[in-house]
This record gives sequence, structure tokens and C-alpha cells, in this order.
Amino acid sequence: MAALLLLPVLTLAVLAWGRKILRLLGVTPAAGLEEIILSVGLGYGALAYVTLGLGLAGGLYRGAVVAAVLVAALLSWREIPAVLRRTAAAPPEAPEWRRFAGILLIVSAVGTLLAAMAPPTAVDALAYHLGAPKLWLQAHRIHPTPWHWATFQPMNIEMLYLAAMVLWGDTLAGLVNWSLGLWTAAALFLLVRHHFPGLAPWFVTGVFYVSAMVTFESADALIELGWTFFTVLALHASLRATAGGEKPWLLLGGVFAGLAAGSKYTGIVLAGALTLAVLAGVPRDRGRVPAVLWFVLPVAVLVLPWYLRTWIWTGDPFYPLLTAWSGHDRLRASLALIYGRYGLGTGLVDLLAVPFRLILAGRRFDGGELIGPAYLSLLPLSLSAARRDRSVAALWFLVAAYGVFWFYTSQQARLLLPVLPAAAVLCGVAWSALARMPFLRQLAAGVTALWMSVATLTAVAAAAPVLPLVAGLESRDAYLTRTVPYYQDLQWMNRNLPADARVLVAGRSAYYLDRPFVGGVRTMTRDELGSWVERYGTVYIYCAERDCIQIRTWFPKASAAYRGQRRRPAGRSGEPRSSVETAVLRVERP
Amino acid sequence: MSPPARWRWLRRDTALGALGALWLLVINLLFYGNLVRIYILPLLR
Repeated sequence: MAALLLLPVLTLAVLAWGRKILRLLGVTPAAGLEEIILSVGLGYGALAYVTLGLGLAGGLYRGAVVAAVLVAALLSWREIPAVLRRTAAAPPEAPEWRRFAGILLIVSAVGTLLAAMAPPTAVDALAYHLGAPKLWLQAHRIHPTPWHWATFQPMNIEMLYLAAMVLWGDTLAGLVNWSLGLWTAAALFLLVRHHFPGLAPWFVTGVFYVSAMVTFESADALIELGWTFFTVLALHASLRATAGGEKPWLLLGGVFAGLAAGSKYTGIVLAGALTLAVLAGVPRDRGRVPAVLWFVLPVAVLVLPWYLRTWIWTGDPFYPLLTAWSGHDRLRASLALIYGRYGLGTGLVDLLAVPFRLILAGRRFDGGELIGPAYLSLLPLSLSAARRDRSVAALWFLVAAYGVFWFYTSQQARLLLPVLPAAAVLCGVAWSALARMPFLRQLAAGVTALWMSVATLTAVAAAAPVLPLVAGLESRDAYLTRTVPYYQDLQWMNRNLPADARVLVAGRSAYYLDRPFVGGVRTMTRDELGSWVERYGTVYIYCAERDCIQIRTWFPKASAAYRGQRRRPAGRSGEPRSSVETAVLRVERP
Repeated sequence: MSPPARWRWLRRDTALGALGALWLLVINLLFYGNLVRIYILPLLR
């Protein structure tokens, strides 16, 4: 509950920082929504890089992060009353779809807020979005965690989680993610109102936010919503820049594109597509090359620390991508496994079929059905408008270019999230184009409203299992025991292993283990494992029985300190429920 | 050249509207049919 009170305080702090930076950049936004959203985006960006700096310098202490937030807040607190004064004078909003989309949006937001107040349980959140920050926090510095390749990616959103974990704990990190979803919706609303005045902003915002995909992403500390927030802000500022051509807006567009590119490897592709859109959007007589330079410069500055970090750690700025391509067979095989796990192929027929398969055979795309039918229903109806309107054409370019890139990489539905706001605007274009066909317009309204209603139900359903916990009727332990398959094993280790025990785990995640751990035992050789035993004297290895067999042949004197059972729930891709025997082995230096 | 009288009702917008309506119905029927198959039917079994 206290995390819920801290979220508005943190939001006000980043708002104040952001507005200060906005003024330093020389940007003059419209009063109200635009000023607030751009400030929050910049403030969160600044918080990510301050945390990264502290982490790389070995300063991950609560005092240091609190001091950084306080100093920045003291320097910029005067911005808050100024923003509020200007907001009060801003004009009221458009009414079309406001009541319907607005109510469902509020219900969805409340449902996912309750779900987000539970401790994290999503696999990726435990494995690295929060898993890596937790280890870094224990060590007070950011260090390599080579058993999870994803921790070598740019991690701006994880830096926000790291800051939230230092300030309070993982619940605040989950709430920051939830609020970033709402900020994305607000940014999209702003983008439509500003650049597409003929469209219904509530309709577009509803299509994006009131969807099962956003519900799923809002409920746990995943990172796609933050990444999407920065992408929408980059798009907004870029459209502002190409409409007016002012340098500060280009710079701001580049800053947000850089923040998005610093959130995941694939972010750089979106930044590249946006750069091309800026290039095409700036009139030739205003100097396209200088304009693009103003845009690209901040992108480069913001991604550089991330790529440098990875380069220094691994010798490959895009680890493991270049290393795999240059002939590292084991890495190449595991990358091929990641790419091959999702989707139904990468042939030309598959490319044409993928928009349909994504929602109709969604499980092959790790939850494609969560995207819902609204996009596929409406997008084709917006195609004719792309010929008349350059902004619409730019959105189509962004969606199509990123969509093709996505198709040839890892076809996970949620990786499409950053372009869904642009696709939602195109749905708004379609809705507006249907004005001269009342029957079809009503039908389109019907199918969109139906999907929004179903999606709202998913938000309510996400909140239901969490209610006993939030109401204080269920303990955190009991909740985690029924939601995290291996939680009891980790609890056993927390209770029974010495405080300074060195733990190696077979997989990549042991988030709820309160000892520093090293992951990836399953892929270690005899010598690699032996070197850890040599280094620490005694190690505890947490593994599934089938992995333990190999380890026992290497270390015949290993003794089983614990035996347990890991329940594996039914997977989103249709895998049945199962259970696996587990053990904790104690291995000593001979 | 104007279309024959019995096709005159079929104006461009009517044809496009019918095509659009068919598109919406097919996509949504397939989608919700699949949703029922993967989420609702297993609950009833």
C-alpha cells in the first residue's frame, strides 16, 4: 500500500525534473497534457540514466538514489505549480467515444492496478527485468550476469525498476510499469489531438489501452509499456518537428527515440525507421541533412553508454548477436532456438498470412490473441487515406517496416507493442473514413466496442486472484507459493542455507532466493562448474533431477541437501501442466 | 457508359460497404470462435 502512495511522489519528482530539462532544451510545449506528458517522459529518462550511472560507479545504495532524487527535486520543484497553473487554463477534451472508452479505460486501469500491486510472477520479470536489478542491488553495482544474454541489452526501463527497488521495493517497480501504460495512453491521446484533429482521440486511445495485451503488460513488471511510451513520445515530437521544423523539437524527438532505443536492442530499429520518417517529412528547402543530424545526435548519445557497457564486458557491443554471426556455434544455436520458438515460419506465404495467424493462432506467437481483432478489422480500411495524408503514410511506414523486422526476428506478439499506438491511430483514420458509410461505421463501432468489453473483462479477471492478497486475507508467502512454481524450493534455501552460502542455479531465475546466485548451470561444462567450486569451497546447486544426474557424475561426493517438486503450470503456448523433481546439491572442494 | 439498369443499385460505396462488412464479420467470427475454442471449451470439458 505504501508503494501506492510513493508512486505519485515519484511521478511529481520526475515531472519536475522533466520540465526543467524540457526548458533547457528550449522546447515550448502547449499547456496542459502536452507539457505534462513530455515532462514525465524526460524525467523518467533522466532517472534511468542517473540510476545507470550510479550502478556502473558502484553506488547502488538507497541513500545515494534518495539523494539524487531529492537534489533533482529541490532544483526543480518550482516547475510543478507552474505546470498546474498552465494546465488549469488548457481547453477541454473532445466528447466522441469519451464516455464509453473512458469508463472501460478506468475499469481496465483499476483492474490492472490491483494486479500490479501483487509481487511479480511473470517469467521474464523474475528472470531479468527485476532479477538482474535485484542481484545488482545486492552487490551495489551493475555487473555482468552472463547466464542471461538479455541483460546485455540496453535496459532503460530496468533502470527505472532498479531505482524503484532501491527506493522501496519490487511493488513500486510494478506500479511504475503500470503507470507507464497509462502515460502511453495519455501520450497517444495527445498525439491524435495534436496531429490528427479530424480523428476521435478517445476512440484511438481506447483501441490501444483497452486491450488484453496492455492488460497483460500492465499487470507485471515487463518492459514493453515503458519502451512504447518513449516510442509514442518520439513519434509525437518528430511529427511536431517535421510540421514546424524547429530544432528543439527535432532534438526532443531524438531524445525520446534514444530513450526507446536504450530500452531494448530492437529499439534501435524503431529509431532508424523514425529517422527515415523525419528525413522524408522535413521539406527539402529547410535542409534535410542538418535536421536528421539534430535528431540522430541524441539517439547516439543515449544508446552509447549501453553499447559501450556490453562491448567492454563481452567484446561485442550487440552481444550475443555479432558473436553468434561470427561463428560461435553454441550461441548461434541458442539464438536460432529463440527465433524458432515463436511463429509459423518465415516464408513469403507466412509473411502474407501472419496478420491473420497472429490473432487466430495466437498461441504460436506467445499470446497473439491478446492483441484482439480490432487492428486487423480496421487497418485495411485506412489504406486509402495513406495516399492523401503524409502523416498517415508515415504511420503506415512505421508499422509496416517494424512489422517486417519483427517477422524476421522473434515473432512474439508482445514485441509488437511499440507500434500498436501507431496502428491504433490508423484504426482511428479508418473509423473517420467510414463517416460516409453509416452502416459499416456502426458495424465497426460494434466490433471495436465488443473487443474493448472483452478486454476490460480480462483486466477484471487479472485482478480477481490478487484480491485476497491486496485485502490482507492472504500472506505474500501463500500467494507466491500458489503462483511461482518453484517458490517453496527457494524458501527452503532462504531458511536453511547459511547466510553467506554460494548458490548456483540450473536455470536463469531464482528471483525470490535471498542469496546472491549464479545462473546457467545447465549449460556449464565440468571445468566451468569446477572453477566455481574451487573458488568458493562449498557451493549449493539448485537443479531439476534430470540436470542433477550429470552433476553427480562429475562430482560423485555431491550430497542432496533437499529434494522438492517444481510444478509447471500450463503454458500460454498450450503446453500441459506438469511437475519436475528438484534437488539442492551440496558440492565441496575436494 | 452507364451500367445496366438492374446493376444501378450497386454503386461504388455500396459495394465497398458490403465488402467491408463481410471483412469485419469474417475476421471477428473467426477470432471469437477461436477464443471460445481455446479458452471456454477446455473449461466445459
